[in-house]
Amino acid sequence: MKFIKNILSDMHHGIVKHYMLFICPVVLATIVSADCVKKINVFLKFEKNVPAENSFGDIWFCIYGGMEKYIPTQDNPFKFPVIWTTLFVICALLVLIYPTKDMLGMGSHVIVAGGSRAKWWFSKVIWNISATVIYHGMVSINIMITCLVVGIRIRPGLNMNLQNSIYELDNLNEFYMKSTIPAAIFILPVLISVAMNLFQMTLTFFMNPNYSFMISCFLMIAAAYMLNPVMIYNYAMPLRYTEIYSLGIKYQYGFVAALAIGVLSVVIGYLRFLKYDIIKKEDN
Amino acid sequence: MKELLKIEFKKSLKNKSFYVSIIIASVFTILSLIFCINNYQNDMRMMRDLSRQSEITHITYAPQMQVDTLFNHWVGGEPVSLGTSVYFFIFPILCAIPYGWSYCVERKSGYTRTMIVHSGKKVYFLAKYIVTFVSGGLAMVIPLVLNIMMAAALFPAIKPDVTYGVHYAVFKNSLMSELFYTRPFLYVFLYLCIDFVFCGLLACCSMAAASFVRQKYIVTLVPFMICLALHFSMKFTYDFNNYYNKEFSPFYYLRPSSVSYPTSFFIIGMTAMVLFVITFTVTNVWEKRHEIY
Repeated sequence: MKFIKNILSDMHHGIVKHYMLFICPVVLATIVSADCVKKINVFLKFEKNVPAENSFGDIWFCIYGGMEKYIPTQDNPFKFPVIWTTLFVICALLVLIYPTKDMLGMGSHVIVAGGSRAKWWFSKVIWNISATVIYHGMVSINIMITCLVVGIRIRPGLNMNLQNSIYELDNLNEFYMKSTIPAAIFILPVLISVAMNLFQMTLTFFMNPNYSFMISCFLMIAAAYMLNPVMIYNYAMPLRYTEIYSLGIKYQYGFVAALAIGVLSVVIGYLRFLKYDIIKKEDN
Repeated sequence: MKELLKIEFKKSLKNKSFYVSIIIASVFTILSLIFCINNYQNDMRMMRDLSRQSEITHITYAPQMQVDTLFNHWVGGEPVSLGTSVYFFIFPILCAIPYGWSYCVERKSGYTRTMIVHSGKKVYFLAKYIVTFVSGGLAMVIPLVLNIMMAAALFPAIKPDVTYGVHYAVFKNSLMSELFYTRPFLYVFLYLCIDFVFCGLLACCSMAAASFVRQKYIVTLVPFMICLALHFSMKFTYDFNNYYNKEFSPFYYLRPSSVSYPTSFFIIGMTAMVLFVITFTVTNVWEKRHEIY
């Protein structure tokens, strides 16, 4: 069995057959975009003395922005960023089960037919990356469609006054107004999502998929709680980049971190899978 | 029925998943406790330093003061630490892990058929429902009780005073706030009961999902997806004043401390009722009418 056949099989069984699951990002992006447009209209109606430009970048920030730095005090309970968490949690959920499911039953025959475990594993890696990119791609396309429908310019701008009315920021002075956001900022959250989904997939070789998913959730909440470069999901929150927030983290390091986590996950997963007992797993 | 319940309880409470769930939950509650201990020590240090530096001798740490008490230092009473934030985010998974998946596995393996031949459909499904409910509830409540016990060994259980209200996350419009400032232990006990019932029902959602989904891992995540959907929907719910001011996210209203909006009995009760009706109908009425072979 050729490697390309392995990939096509995974694309068919893991994406095409489960196309209903990929409606989730469309629904999510539609609801959030509609709500964001509603908030933009309210903002334009009431805020007469501040710059009122708005663009694709603003709606994108509503979804991917994350949250500002959290300062734990008794009168400031921690509230995780709902939209951001839902977006990344659903993405992690979509790529959680298929590899485990495919290892049992039909998948074990594919491994035998392929003649190599490496082909099976790298095919899963490509499937995981593709599924994550498609997921985020659908969100971005949906935002663009919303912009076209309501007549918002498709431009990578950021109006911090508008974001303030959406996120209710505590320290607006520490944020910068941007007429153009670098394209890299739009790419980094997707790369972090790809890297963390690969990490989650590798973890399923060491533990039950439910526990690996729990670890992903923990990392998301911990990142929202602590503005720290070690908490990798911080690089998926553009509201915390130094480009936008003066006390934030340098987003450029995020590319290195995503690459390192992705490569390490693929290598460790490969080494583990070479000696992984599929028959024992099937018995369970 | 009694015999089957005995077997099911033994299976649910003496399995690895139950212990793992309790251990994971306890780790997060301990994380919260460590945060509280640090805060408590910082408060004491600050008071000591203040009394040393100034001439005002009455600024000394008084352990009878209602600022640092058990009721705002246990995992349910403080809404600010990482431990409590993570614990009250992943609890729907933790309460489904012990036994929520069991019906899915037994159905797949054929164990269900054997048991139904032995004891009858009605008894089997009812026993399974009861045991799943109890195991889910216990998985939520045991780590909370352990945390209260540990916190009680470290912090004074002084009755909260409403004049120090700013130090407690229980406000005038919070659920049972009057009870909190008069009978705090009863307040904690009632909240534990609410958590027990709600998480029991969430675990039953896993059991109900097993009627439609054959994947054990997906079934376990169903309660989490329900909670996330409820939480997400709240962000986009507006009333006539363009602002909805009641909490209906289980991630927040199952906490004894107020996080966002005030909690109401009506919303908790309605959600629990809907969960009960759906899960009970699916598992004990719909599933009973289906062919098991």
